Amino acid sequence: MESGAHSPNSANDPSPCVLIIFRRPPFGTVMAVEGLRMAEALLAFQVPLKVVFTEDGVFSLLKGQGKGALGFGDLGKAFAGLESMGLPQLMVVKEDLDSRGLSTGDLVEAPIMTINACHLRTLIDEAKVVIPF
Amino acid sequence: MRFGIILLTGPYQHEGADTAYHFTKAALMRGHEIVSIFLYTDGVYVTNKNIVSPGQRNIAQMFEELGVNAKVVACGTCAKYRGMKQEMLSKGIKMGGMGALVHMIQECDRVLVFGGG
Repeated sequence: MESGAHSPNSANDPSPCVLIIFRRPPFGTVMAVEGLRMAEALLAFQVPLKVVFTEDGVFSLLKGQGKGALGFGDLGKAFAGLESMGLPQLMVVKEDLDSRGLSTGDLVEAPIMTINACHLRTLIDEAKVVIPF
Repeated sequence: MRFGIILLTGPYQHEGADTAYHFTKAALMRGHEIVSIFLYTDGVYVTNKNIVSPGQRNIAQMFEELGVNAKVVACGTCAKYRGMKQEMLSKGIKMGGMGALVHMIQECDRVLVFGGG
């Protein structure tokens, strides 16, 4: 996808940004939800932000969540909604998708870019703040 | 250097709160500035002044001590979800919104996260 060149959250924006890394699965702990809430808040304040899903965090992007009797919402759909708040794309580590038998076709409809683990290391190096959830 | 601290874990279950405390103390002793300590998710529990810990360190008192030299902010929404009210917080510690977190990120040279994923 193309990203806005002047957006504070442009994928190509070299300014120091906050990087939120989702490592935990969507359910079992509150971390994914709280990371989402923090991402929404940072976007609302127009803080340059990048979001990456790695390890079991990739499950948070699966489509069709939240249909059970437990009363949890559809977290995948909520993450997809970050685009409407100004986040140009979600990033997911391809090796972690592969090792869990998943492909991008299993994920929610959203601008999702697959990256490799080396790219994640670069993102960590470039970020001003890294917040793992 | 100007540091910001984010704490994502509560007291006693893990050592994140203790490590954040000791880091903050050490940084202040070496002349660094702690812009603020932002307590998020279960991190808000470290400000519960009703903590009683016979014979052990009292983490609420430890963070109250930090509050003398550093601004300690508990996420208001996290506190609300956990039944924490302002009057339950240790002396000098306030509740705040995400604006406080954004301000800290903008003002700091480095932000450290304790108790994260």
